[in-house]
Amino acid sequence: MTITQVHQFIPSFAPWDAIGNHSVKVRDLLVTMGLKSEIYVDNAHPEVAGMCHPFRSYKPSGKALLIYQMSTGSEIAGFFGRVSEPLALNYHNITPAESFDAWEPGVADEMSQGRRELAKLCTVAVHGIADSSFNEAELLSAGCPSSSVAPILFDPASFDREADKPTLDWLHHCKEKGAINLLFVGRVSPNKAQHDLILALAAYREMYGIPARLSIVGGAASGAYYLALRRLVTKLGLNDAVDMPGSVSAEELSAYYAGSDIFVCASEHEGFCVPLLEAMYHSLPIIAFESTAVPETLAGSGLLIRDKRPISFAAAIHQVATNPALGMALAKRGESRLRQFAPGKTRAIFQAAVEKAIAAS
Amino acid sequence: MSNAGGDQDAALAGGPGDELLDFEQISAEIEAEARRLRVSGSVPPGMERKLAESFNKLVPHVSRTSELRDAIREADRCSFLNVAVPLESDKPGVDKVKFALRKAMAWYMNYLAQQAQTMGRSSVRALRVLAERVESIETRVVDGDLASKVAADTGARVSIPALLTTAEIGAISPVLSAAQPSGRVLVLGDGSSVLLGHLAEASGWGDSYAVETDDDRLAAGAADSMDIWDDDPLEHLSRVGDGSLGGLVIVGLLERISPALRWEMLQLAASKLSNGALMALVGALPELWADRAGPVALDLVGYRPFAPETFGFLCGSLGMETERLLLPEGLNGIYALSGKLS
Repeated sequence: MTITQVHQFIPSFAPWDAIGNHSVKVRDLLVTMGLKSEIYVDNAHPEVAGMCHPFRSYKPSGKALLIYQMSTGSEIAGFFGRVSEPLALNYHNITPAESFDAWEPGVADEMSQGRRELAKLCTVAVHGIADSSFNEAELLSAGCPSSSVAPILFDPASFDREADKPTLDWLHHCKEKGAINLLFVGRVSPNKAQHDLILALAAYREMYGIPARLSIVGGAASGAYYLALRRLVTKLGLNDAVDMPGSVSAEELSAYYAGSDIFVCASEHEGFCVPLLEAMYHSLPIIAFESTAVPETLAGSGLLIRDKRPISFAAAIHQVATNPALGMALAKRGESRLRQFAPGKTRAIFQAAVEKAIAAS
Repeated sequence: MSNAGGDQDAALAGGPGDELLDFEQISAEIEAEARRLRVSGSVPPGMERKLAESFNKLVPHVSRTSELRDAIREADRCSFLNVAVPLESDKPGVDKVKFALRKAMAWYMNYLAQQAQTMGRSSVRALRVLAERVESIETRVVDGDLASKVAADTGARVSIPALLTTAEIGAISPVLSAAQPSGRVLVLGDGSSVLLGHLAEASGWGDSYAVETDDDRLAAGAADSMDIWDDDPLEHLSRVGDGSLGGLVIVGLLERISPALRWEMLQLAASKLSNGALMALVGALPELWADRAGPVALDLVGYRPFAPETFGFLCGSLGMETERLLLPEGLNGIYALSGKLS
């Protein structure tokens, strides 16, 4: 079978989303490879609706390889059973349903559905492309016949945005008053365990008497969890110390990175974790809980902790906050690590993975 | 604490100040600092537990059981709406305002709560009827009804008591004292102050805690300033970070679950232990079980206890070195087995 077209299918396509951005970059790469390429979606944000088509409108040509950007359960998975063209999975991992059980049973069902679909799709896929070895191991254990590891495509230069001045001024103002600004960026979601960061902050302020602050930036994937975090903050008397602005503009996000001292991550499940790379770009030292794909993404460029109980996490923050040379060394390592994700390198790796998938079709 | 990605270290190293990045040493310093803070009295006692509880109280309680009857029981429990909103407040006088508001709104809240409860109870009743029909179908499809009845009859008689006596704890303590855990020790199945206190004093396992669901034991633990958390043992174990425990003591829990689940739980337990950590299992000897259960249960129930040798074999296949087997005489057939993760 001669493949002249490679089309992507995405459950949800949004402009600020890492997988959405990745898909656009993959499409551009496929076009430069001389292949016809379109993006098909289940639902799309209005801002990017013009860049994609509803998946039900797809008409098989008999010459196409289909790439499914998989990160959750979706009706699209069932659609592949009705199309005879070869399928490759670009797997970004599926959050374990247990994380959402108590908070959002509907989302938990979607995740469970996603896992079941993964098992089915792996038996028909010709190749799997995982954005980390951690994800690749899941693909293989689900029965995928062959696989490649290719990092998510992004352009580090896209992190270079002008910082929103009021936000940056405010963060600097907090620093001038003696505060240490801690930052986490990511969806407000139980698996990201932002509550552990709040508890660590409370312990840190109590233990060392330093008026540290925490910014939790990102939209809410679980409204119930978001409200619980807000109540926790109030309960611990941290209303002035924890900032949860939700989704922010690119300029505001840039300001948060630029005005913070340490990037902290307590997440219990990550398939890759792009915000770590953005923190590296902004030369922030990183302290992260050692879980899932986080050690692989950091690869020695951040301080990994195995114990994230409040006192232990606070002690790690204190170690980095009080040792500027250590913070700088971590930041330097981050900058070096980021160079390994230079667009030229990652595009070549992804192209090789696509070529393998085409060869297997 | 650790830093993975060692292969990458060399590629990333070399920048100014990079010699400071001895992650092993940094982690050791952080651990030492955390340990010092926990025992020095420079942080309020129980701070960590209180912080965790302050979040745990906000987590919606949803049973993860896959047993239909247990799920219905849980739904039934949750269908009660308590209109007596808590009144306590850190701010002076606010409790009185809350009390006045609660009293003023009682007629309204009670009316709504009564309707919601009626709906909840009716739904639970419908679920019960459904469960009975499903179970009836299951009984016809799989003839497992008899075995589960026998299991229910004998289960309570044959499992070891939920709490160990002082004599029993004293007898198994040589197994525990043989190891000095390098991290936190979790006790499952016996959330009593007696065992925790013994671990701290006689065995030198200072940084120990237990999880417990029994309100009386939780209250007794709090009164004795013991670190006992209100949580389900299995759920708690599944949430503990991989490789984070310095030791694990499991008392009797394994007696009460199926062989397949036992293997699953042992695998889970091993994944939570750090290298060199000790796991102690306290169980009942199968001979004792056979005496108590009688021949019917012996033949029909798949829940009989494992011999210590079997647990030794299973632990061995998880990469654990079984260190010592202790069979105290005259202690009602209780044994302790310890394995170390190598």
